[in-house]
Formats: sequence, C-alpha cells, structure tokens
Amino acid sequence: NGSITGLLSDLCSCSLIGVSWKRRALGVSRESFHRVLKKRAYGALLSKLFQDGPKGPASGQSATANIPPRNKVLMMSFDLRVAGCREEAERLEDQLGRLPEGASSSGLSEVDAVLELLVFLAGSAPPPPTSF
Amino acid sequence: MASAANANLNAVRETMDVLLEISRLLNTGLDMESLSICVRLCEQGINPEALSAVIKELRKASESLKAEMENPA
Repeated sequence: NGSITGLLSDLCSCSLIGVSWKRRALGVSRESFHRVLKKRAYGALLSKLFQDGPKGPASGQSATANIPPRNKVLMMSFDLRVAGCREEAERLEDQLGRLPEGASSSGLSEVDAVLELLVFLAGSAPPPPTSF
Repeated sequence: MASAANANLNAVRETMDVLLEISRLLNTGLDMESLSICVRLCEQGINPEALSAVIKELRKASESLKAEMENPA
C-alpha cells in the first residue's frame, strides 16, 4: 500500500520488530499495540504540521532552517573531524559526493527531503557498541 | 522502454545504498526497510521534520513496551 496511511502503518510495524509477544502478562496484543502506535504517530505528525507557521527569523525559525541539507551534512562532517572521527567524516563526504542531484539521475524525486530527514534523525540512535 | 525502466531501477537502488550509508554514518537508527518507507513518505510530500518527530515518537513507545514486556510489574 503506497498511501500515506498505509506507509505510516508499515512504519509502526517496523517499530514492533524485536518485541516478544510470547509473554502475555501485560494483556497487550500486537494488534492493539499497533493501534496505539498509529495513534501516537498521527499525534506526532499532526502536532508538528500545525506548528508550521510563516517561515523567517521573525517567527522564531532556527538560523539553520534555510541551509540546504547537503550543506548541513557537510557541517556534520566538519563536527566529526573536530571530534577526531576523520575516517567517518571522509566517508560521509565521499557518500555525499556520490549522491545524485535531481530526480532523473537519482531515480527519486525527493532526495533532499530524505537528506533533511537524516539530518533531523542524526545521533538519535544509541551509538554502536565499540569493539576492543 | 524496458531498458529505461531498468536504468531507473538501478539509479534508485544506487541512491538508496548511498542514503543508507549516510544514514548509518549519521547514526539515525534507520534500517533499509524503515528508510525505504521514509523515502516513500517524503515522496508523498510529508515534511521531513514532522516525519522525524513520528519516528522518535514510535521509538519511545516501542522502547517502553519492550521494557514493560521484559520487566512486567
């Protein structure tokens, strides 16, 4: 299902991967929790959409709001270098250079929007375990 | 016609691979399946900031469920 509602439902299903439903001690079924997730997803989506007002510094928008997402990734790469993660920074710049611009070369119509999403989610996952 | 479709499919695949690697380097926590869904939602016009809020909310909810499942009161 390629509709927004279908895709949001798929996203909720992805969030349930790794949850063990063998223990029914809580009396929660997968279906009922999926419904709860959908409700929370729509709540988060709508609250963010209704926050969207007129853009510009006067409306309290962040100074970085108008920076192109590719430049934001380059700024993150710079931060990685400053933090001593030179290899990751170079890999990030290399991947960014490989990312095609425009729908005809990338096959996707919204590459910059996806990049913007990745910038918003940057660092939101727990860091990968370090190996010794 | 078929070769144009194949070329487009290859372009999408390559772009997705690059996006997944950038996602991994930025530590976003998205796997290929979630990223594919997000790409399709962005293509449907969903605002990226709103979508990031949805993903964070879903993580919070599923993490608290996992914790409750592991340690039922």
